[in-house]
Amino acid sequence: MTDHGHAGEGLLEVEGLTIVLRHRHRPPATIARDVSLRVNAGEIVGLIGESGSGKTMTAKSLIGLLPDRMEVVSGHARFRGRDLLHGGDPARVRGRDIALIPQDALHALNPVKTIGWQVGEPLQVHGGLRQRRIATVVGDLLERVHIPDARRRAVDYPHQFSGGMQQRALTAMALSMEPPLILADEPTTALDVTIQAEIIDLIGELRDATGASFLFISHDLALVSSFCDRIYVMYAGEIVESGTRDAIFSHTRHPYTRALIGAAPRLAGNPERLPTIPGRIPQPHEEIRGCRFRERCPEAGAACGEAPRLDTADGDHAFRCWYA
Amino acid sequence: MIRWLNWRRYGLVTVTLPVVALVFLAAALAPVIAPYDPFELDVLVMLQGPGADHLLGTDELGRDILSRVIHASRVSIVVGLVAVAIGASGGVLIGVLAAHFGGAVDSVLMRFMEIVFCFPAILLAVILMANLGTSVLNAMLAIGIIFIPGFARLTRAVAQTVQRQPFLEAAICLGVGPLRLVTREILPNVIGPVLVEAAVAFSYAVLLESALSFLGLGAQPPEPSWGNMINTGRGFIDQAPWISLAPGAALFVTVFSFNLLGDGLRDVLDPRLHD
Repeated sequence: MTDHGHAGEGLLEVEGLTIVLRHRHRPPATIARDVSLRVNAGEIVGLIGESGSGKTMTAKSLIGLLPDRMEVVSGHARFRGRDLLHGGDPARVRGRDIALIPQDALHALNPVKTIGWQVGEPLQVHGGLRQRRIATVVGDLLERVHIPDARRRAVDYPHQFSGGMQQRALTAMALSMEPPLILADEPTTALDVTIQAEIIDLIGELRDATGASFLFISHDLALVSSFCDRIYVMYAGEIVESGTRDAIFSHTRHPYTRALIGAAPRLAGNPERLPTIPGRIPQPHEEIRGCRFRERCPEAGAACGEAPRLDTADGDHAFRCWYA
Repeated sequence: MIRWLNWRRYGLVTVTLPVVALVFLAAALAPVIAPYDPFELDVLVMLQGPGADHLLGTDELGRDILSRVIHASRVSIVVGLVAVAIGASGGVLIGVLAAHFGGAVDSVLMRFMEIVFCFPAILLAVILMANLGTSVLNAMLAIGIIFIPGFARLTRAVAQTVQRQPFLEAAICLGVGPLRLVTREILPNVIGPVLVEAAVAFSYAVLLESALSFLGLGAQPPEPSWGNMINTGRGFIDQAPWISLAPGAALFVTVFSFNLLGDGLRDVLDPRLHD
């Protein structure tokens, strides 16, 4: 095993990943198209997009958990230089190399098992530790995610935990095998705003403490802006803009990213109506010629009839637009 | 904190559990607590009404009814336990397999279960007994087979809802394998409803065994069983109603308290009702 990865390569390298949904009566629909992204060691990377933009499926494909009728038709995904998509048992990667913090915190814990048992389950499954030792590790993990009175609360059941506490427990579960990469799939959607902020702080803190990398999936650009090192913006299955947090916010190039930033509610100004992006995200099976954002784009022009390529402006900053 | 005296939650169990325990105790200690030998004939006291010597009276052969009722509880309890064990283990296995594999496996298994379900329980029991031969052992087997579809349906329904829950995917994401997923994640969620069903099925098994014995297919005289005692008493219902009434009352109390216990268990076993 290579601990450092290949020279110049990140922890996770995804290249040209295309995922399709096979349909019995229709031609296959493209869920993710030519997605490339990179996560370096110790980085928090944001993957942003509306619901249905393909961000969750992109993440799930990495650990071999695509739904039955979806499949990766082209592209590569490498974790520390090792191929994730072809050959190799994805079950061996799960939890140990790449863990996932699931979306729906309130239903992601088994209601009839104690918190401690569930946090310790990856340790049980992957083996190597004695029962006694597992109990200690579980206590440490729960303390690490700031569950008050952790050792005593390990015997509680999920319904005795608040939503935020359940999400903390799930985070502890993901951390249990000390995986180098953690996929956080909208870990805060089911929680209220103040709890959201706490979870975000926790993720930042854990990155600093353990050196783990996070791929943080969200639809909330404002949220991600506060703590991600780099950001990928996804629209209708494509990466439309990517770059450092600074590049995305201060030198926004793609009209969709601009619209997303504009649509975030602000306290100052207090407009009558919140700005929205007109239209709706195209469905995966819809045939679209040219740019996929064209129909909703305020800046669309003649060139948009042809699909734009992902262009790199300066260094890391890339975008998919003719007019940017 | 769990309040152990939470009446709404534990009330039913608090009331019915002692009754059920009493029935089990009577069965376990039958030879010790029964005042007479249940097989001992005494023609001098035949058809005697309840009194000081024979608390519940005697039957047409002068046997002590109380002793016979107590001994008969053994047959009922054993048949109930074994039949429920057969039904529950068979049903849970089939139900989990059907829910987990779905598709053709699910269809074949559940259609077969539905065929078994089509027959009225007592008729199916009679048919099975007719083929297996009349004995207590075969009664357990027949009643157990009758219970399999019920447990299978229940288990499948519960397992299917569990199967769609995000926590299973969460477990898979952390590397939990398929076998462990079924035994450690799905089964514990199924156990609660299955236990409730088991308590109800137990009372039904007791009832069915009595019905079979009443028809002469279960426990064979002189072996006492509530069913064959009621049948015996039929001929003397005018002169000596206690011959039938005593085992009938025992049957009623047992079945009734087991049914209520089932309801009570549901309140206790659902962890979401913990405060």
